[in-house]
Amino acid sequence: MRILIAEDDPVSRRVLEAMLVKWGYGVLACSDGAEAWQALQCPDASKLAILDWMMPIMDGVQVCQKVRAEPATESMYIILLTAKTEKDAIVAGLEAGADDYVTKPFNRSELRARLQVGVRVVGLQQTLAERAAENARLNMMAQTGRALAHHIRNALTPLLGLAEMLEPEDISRVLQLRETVVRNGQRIAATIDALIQMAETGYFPTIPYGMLKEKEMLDMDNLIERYLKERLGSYEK
Amino acid sequence: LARVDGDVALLKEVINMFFSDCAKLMPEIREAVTRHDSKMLAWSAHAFKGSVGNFTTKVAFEAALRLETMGRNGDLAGAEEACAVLEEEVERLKSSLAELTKEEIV
Repeated sequence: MRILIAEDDPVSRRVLEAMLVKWGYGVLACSDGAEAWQALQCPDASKLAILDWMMPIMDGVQVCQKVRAEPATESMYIILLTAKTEKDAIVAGLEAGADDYVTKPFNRSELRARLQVGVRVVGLQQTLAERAAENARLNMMAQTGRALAHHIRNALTPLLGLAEMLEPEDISRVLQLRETVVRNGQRIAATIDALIQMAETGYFPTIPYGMLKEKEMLDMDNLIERYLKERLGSYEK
Repeated sequence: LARVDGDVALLKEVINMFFSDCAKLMPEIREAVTRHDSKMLAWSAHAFKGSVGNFTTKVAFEAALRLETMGRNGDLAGAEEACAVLEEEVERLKSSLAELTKEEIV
């Protein structure tokens, strides 16, 4: 795991960086809060950050507040570095959004243990996010499956109705049935194609993965209708 | 040396960085005390406290902390004395670190 550190004192920064590297972490070292905040906004930013409290331009607490205010960064795990005498400030730091704090000059074993807590929390958050995405995908499949079944039934109903009423000598009915069989048969075939594709890939053909998060915005019937129109166009061709 | 897990190269590197900090920040602290500039004292003593805190010298760390607190509170009574303690401790620390570096490298 890569850890972002923000520390304005070059000696402390170097010692901290060397320690983390020795413990097997990747490190991105920043010399002030503004630099840290910029780095934390990158799409592949570290999920765990160690921020010094007092830094020029933007201090650790200000970075915490910014991190918590942005949906893209709000779940990051933040450890604040603070001096032993700033006990009152610790409450303010935690209220500003820090997950934990380590007092300076820090004890190596304590920092290592607190980092391990952070790594566990980040891992759990990631597992939860993956499960939520998987649940959303399964819900979407169930919803799509129901909608597709509904479309197959809608296509079958007129076929069965016409077939039941059919008199062999009634040529106009026979022609009407033939036309309906062809049209609705194509709809059923296209709907089954969509079902097969969904079973094989886990997604409805026209729904890209990213749209799962906005599933409440999707009108499944409308989506399937659009898909069927496209497929039926290709059948006609 | 224990703080850097026995890494002599890293120790030498941070000692050199600390010497640079001393050369920059100690005159700033002295100047702030002489000019009774609380803001400058708070900031430079805070910066130096972070740097010196990496070495096991409680006296120097606490002297820097006292100066930082005085600067923050705008009350520089006793700053002259604390600054003298800090200067003395820093000189002692620098000698020890210079010795340690020589020994470790030999």
